Amino acid sequence: MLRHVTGAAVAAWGLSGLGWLGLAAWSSVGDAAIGPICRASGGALDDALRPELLLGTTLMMLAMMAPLTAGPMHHLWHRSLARHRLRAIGLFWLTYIALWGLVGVLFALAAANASRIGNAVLLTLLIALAWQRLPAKATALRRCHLRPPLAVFGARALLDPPWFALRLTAWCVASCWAVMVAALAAQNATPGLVPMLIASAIIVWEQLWRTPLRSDGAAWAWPRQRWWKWLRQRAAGDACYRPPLASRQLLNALPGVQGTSR
Amino acid sequence: MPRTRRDVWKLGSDWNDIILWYARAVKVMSARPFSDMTSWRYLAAMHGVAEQLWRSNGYMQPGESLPDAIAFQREDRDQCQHHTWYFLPWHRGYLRAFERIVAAAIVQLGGPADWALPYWNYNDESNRNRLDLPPVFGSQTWPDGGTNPLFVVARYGSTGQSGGPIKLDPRSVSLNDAFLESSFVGTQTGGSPGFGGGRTPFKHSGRGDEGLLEQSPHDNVHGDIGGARDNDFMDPFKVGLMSNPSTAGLDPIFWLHHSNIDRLWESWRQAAGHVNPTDDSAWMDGPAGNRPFVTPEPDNSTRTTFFAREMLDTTGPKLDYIYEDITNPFAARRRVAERLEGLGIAPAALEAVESAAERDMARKPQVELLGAYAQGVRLSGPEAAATVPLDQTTSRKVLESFRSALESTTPREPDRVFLNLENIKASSDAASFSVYIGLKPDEKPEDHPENLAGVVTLFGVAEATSSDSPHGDNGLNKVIEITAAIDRLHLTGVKELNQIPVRFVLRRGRASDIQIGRVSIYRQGN
Repeated sequence: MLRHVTGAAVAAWGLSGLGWLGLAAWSSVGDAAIGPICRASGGALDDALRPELLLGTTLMMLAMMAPLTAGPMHHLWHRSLARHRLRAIGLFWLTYIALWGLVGVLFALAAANASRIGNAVLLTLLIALAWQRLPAKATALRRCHLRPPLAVFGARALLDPPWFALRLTAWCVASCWAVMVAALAAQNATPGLVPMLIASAIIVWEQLWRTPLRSDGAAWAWPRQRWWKWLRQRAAGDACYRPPLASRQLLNALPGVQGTSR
Repeated sequence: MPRTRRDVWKLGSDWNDIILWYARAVKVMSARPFSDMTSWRYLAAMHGVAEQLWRSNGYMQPGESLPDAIAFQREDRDQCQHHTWYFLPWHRGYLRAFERIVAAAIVQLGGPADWALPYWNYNDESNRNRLDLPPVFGSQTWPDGGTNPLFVVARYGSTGQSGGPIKLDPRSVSLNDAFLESSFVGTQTGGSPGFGGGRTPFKHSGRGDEGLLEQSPHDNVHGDIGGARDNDFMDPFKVGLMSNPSTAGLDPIFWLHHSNIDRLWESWRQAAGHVNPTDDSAWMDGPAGNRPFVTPEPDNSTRTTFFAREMLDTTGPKLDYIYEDITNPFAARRRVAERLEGLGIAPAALEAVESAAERDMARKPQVELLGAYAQGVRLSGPEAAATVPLDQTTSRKVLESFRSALESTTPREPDRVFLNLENIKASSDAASFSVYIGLKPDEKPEDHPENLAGVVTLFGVAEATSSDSPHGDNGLNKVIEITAAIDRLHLTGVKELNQIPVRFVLRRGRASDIQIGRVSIYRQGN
């Protein structure tokens, strides 16, 4: 299997790993830990734009968002002239990480200001749960897979990679803002990086692994809902439904479904 | 005893037993409720379902909804694999499930127990009617009385008229590119798309390179049969059933077409030097990703999962059928040998080149972009053109590959060259165009068939264009080999490759809304 792992995937996950290591190191230094980002900023934009906080959010976004760039980097690599491949990826990444660094600050501010309204963790979690269920979220998520045509010659060859990064970031921000803000709000109340790790897992899972979403929303349900539906359908005699996270072995153990173990 | 699939044109009379029992089974299965896993509609929806299109064609009644069983919603519907290396194995398993269900219905009706799905061999040069839709499918009446179950209203062909004569374009069924390609797996990076397609996870629609057999004849035959009402390629609701993956399974001819595609895979698979990715666990244990391949059994309660590795031997336990004829029409031909002969390589050296080419196949080919026209092309009228500028540094590598291949004592094939049509968008799946390479502005395409690089049918483009599709609106990609055109240029003695003119000619109708995001050219060396 390893022979088929693309260089883009290795680079993307490698950058993510560096981001997490940097974040852990940064957190251990003290003041600029991700947890205190919001508290340190006090919810004000001018405080939040301090260099150490910008560095913190940039590291955070590098860790969380780099895995999503494997596909875009593969696209840039193979759709560019061989001698321009690294340039295209570099221009893309500079734009991508700069935008995410800034967006991270905005997320942190939103999380900090949520506490003025009430219980920030509960409030942002409810907003995130609602957003995850809306068609607009599904639309934004689908657009996170865009792979635009890239110019090869002239000024457009320099502009297209950053423009690609800008569009991609915009759709991905629209897709994951609610989860990120909730995670940052939880981060204020939790030591370590656990909320960010959970948010990162959700974002990567829904973009890279989850069953693609159909516009009619048929594939769009929370996992627990699907388990509940499965139980109801089993009770009603529909033995065919396979719960989403069930292993092949579990599937094979169910009466009425013949499968081959993988 | 495996069932034997036979050519529909060699079954005897039009309404021979095999066809008559097929029609009777279609009638029975069409009467079953949609939620019945052995119903005509359920099986068609497994390939793909678009509710509005089904309603507009009368396949869903007002007030009727899609089956709400979670098994249908999450796993069974919209399974068809296109633009992926699972195209052939998935359709093989799907066809076999269909055949078992039809056969069971025939037995229930008192028919023969050994019924097998026929195939439509539109490549049989010995049959002068090979390109005609078998007449029983175009007849509105049948021996049992009433409306012929094999007749479909929304089948428009090239005339754009329902019930009109349907004849395939001979260019649509070309097997040249597919059968002269010896690699099953495509590069997925702009080079050869391979016989069977590019490496992907489970993939119902969207971007990715489709294999050569999927392009031609598969896509082209779909479009040639389905067409569009009044040849209107702007209105997605006027497409014939066969033109769109989300309605194609509703047309009874779909299954005979795919039986032939499956037969062609079997023919290619058994040819010497052609290798399926049997050493690749991602294909063998596929589908990769988080959706399984699932098909229903005739008992309407059991569903069976299957994997690509079980779809290789048609006499294996999950398949158990053979084809009457899997003669390889290209058995005596060798792509590399023909190319080098055309380039003037001495015949004595060909054998060494062949073995070197086979050795090279084991290595990952080196593919890189040669040039691109990124301003976008809009094919709204009968024709459109783009002149693709080439990068001088890279194009010198192509010219150098000719020099080193022809002068070196170690024989090897010069670079192959591929045209990529990226991010193709259109509203109608029935749209189709021809691609010509190297025509001068004043030259008419019909006067230069030697410049025809390929025929493109946009099967699946509507979904790939929709922002509601799972991967947004990236459109489709197509890869066409243009090595022959580059060889011709080489033979004229060119010293530089600066640009390549590409002409797009709409095949049917007078207007369309086809947009091609980028026209690019890649070199593939070893």
